[in-house]
Amino acid sequence: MKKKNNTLSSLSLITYIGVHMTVPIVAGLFAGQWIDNKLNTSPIFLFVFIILGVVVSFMNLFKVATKDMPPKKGK
Amino acid sequence: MEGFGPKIMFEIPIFGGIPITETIINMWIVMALLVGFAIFATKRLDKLPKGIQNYVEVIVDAMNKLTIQTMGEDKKSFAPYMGSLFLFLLLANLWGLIGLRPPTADLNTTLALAMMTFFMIHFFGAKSKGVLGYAKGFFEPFILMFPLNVMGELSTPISLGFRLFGNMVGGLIIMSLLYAGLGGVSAAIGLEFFPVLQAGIPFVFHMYFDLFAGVLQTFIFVMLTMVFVSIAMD
Repeated sequence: MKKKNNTLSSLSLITYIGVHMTVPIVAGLFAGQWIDNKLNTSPIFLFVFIILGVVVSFMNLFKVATKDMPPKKGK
Repeated sequence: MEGFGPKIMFEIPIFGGIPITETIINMWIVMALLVGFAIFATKRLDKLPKGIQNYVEVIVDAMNKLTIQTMGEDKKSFAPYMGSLFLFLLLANLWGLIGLRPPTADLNTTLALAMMTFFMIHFFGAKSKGVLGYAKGFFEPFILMFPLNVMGELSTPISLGFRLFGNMVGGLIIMSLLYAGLGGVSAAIGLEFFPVLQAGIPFVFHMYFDLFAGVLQTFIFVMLTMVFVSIAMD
């Protein structure tokens, strides 16, 4: 396995973290609002999608953070 | 009051009128410049480079090296795409320096570029792992994660597009406000026919918002495209 993780790509990923964290939450907010408007179920889907957004943004961060870690053995 | 959105210059009178905005015109100029440069620079290629060929070779070499360094030796074939993306974004982001509206200060441009990255990620991911093997990745670590993984993937082009757009349009708005404000101050000291304050002060802000942020965002966009495509492929 060659080494190809240089400083520059890590730096780009760091500057990306902030946006990457907020986008799913905001997207969840708008998606939930839209569905609620269509189905008249305010505010159920709003909460569902915001919580989904929070989980997704955590997952995104997790993926970025563990990108360079060697995969676990014994899988 | 006039907003900060791109002005519509004229309309093509087909399909009920296609509006042509400032963004599109500026983008055509950028495209013409790049195509013209490419044709002019590669008209006479020699074994022993002289003149402009030297500079072009420096650019090509740098892009090849950056691609190999970031994506690995086996993905060298991405260098032409990354190079064109880099040159286009660089010229487009620096467009504010000559006083015109940068084409990237429009969500349509940046989101289109981000969608290209998005489709590249999934196309090349599916190509290198096989469609089934790639689809299986969405159901990991367990099957209930599927909607979350899909949402996470869909957020990639949005955040890529919005960050470039936000940086460029933020710089554009601040620069317009600054010019308007300096014009106002000049008028207040009795110089409305010759707004002398607009001459020197914006220089510092142009350095930051156009030169620094423009080059940095170009670099980050290209870098992230490389990183995401290579993550999807291996």
